[in-house]
Amino acid sequence: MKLSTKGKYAVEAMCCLAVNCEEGPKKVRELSDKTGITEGYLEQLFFRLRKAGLLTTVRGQKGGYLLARSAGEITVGEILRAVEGELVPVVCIRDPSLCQSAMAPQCATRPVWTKLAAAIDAVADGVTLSSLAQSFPKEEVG
Amino acid sequence: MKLSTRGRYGLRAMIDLAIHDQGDYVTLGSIAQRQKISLNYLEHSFAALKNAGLIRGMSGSQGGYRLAAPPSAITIRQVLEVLEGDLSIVGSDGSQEESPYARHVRNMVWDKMDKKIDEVLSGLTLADMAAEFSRLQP
Repeated sequence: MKLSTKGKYAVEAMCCLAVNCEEGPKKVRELSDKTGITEGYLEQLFFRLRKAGLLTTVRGQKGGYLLARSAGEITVGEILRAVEGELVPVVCIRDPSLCQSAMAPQCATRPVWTKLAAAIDAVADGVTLSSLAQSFPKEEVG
Repeated sequence: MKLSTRGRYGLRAMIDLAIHDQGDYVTLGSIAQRQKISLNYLEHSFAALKNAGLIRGMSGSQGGYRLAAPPSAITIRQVLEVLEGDLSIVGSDGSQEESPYARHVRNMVWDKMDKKIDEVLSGLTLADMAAEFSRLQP
């Protein structure tokens, strides 16, 4: 059971932007240097994050990416859902009709997956970008 | 993030075994039939569960499988760890160097998720699941 690299990198990139965007928009190249994520990968992620209304772009020479809302209003859960889709470990949690098993009505495991999904959601929705940025070790900014 | 078929089917089969393990060895064929899972598929999972010491197997005409411990002493975490491998939400990057941001997100988010997932899975045993299954029977 693993989160994809997309989800992991999207949260890292958004954390980096939240830590560094106070002095203005950040270019993909700068964020790539800081996170070690390739520019191409960042562009792909930012396309989705922009579509989800979490990022905006500023044009021009001083342009780049900015958070679309204040960092306190963007949660890790929103970022993950924007790039991963649903966070559920098994599809039946959001929609029981997606289960193709003949045993579906007597499925004893679904309650486990439901609890698992709730635990993951609670953490993801409880962490905002501002809490990530504020707790980021100051000596590492750069 | 998805749980594999191996983890989902294997856990269902273990719950079935917990219910039907009444002193005799339970054949894999009967579990496969009741749970409507292919026998071939279960054979691999049960070999791994046996290697991990969660079940005991006996070959022969009276053979089959039994739990190696009472169902209340086997947690869902133990079962899924055998079937799914490492249950952490993001794999460790191994030798790759983490950026300060990756390290920070790991500390603040992934480690917390892992802890919660672990709490859920360690807090449930095969006995709990067997009770749930019985409750759902028509």
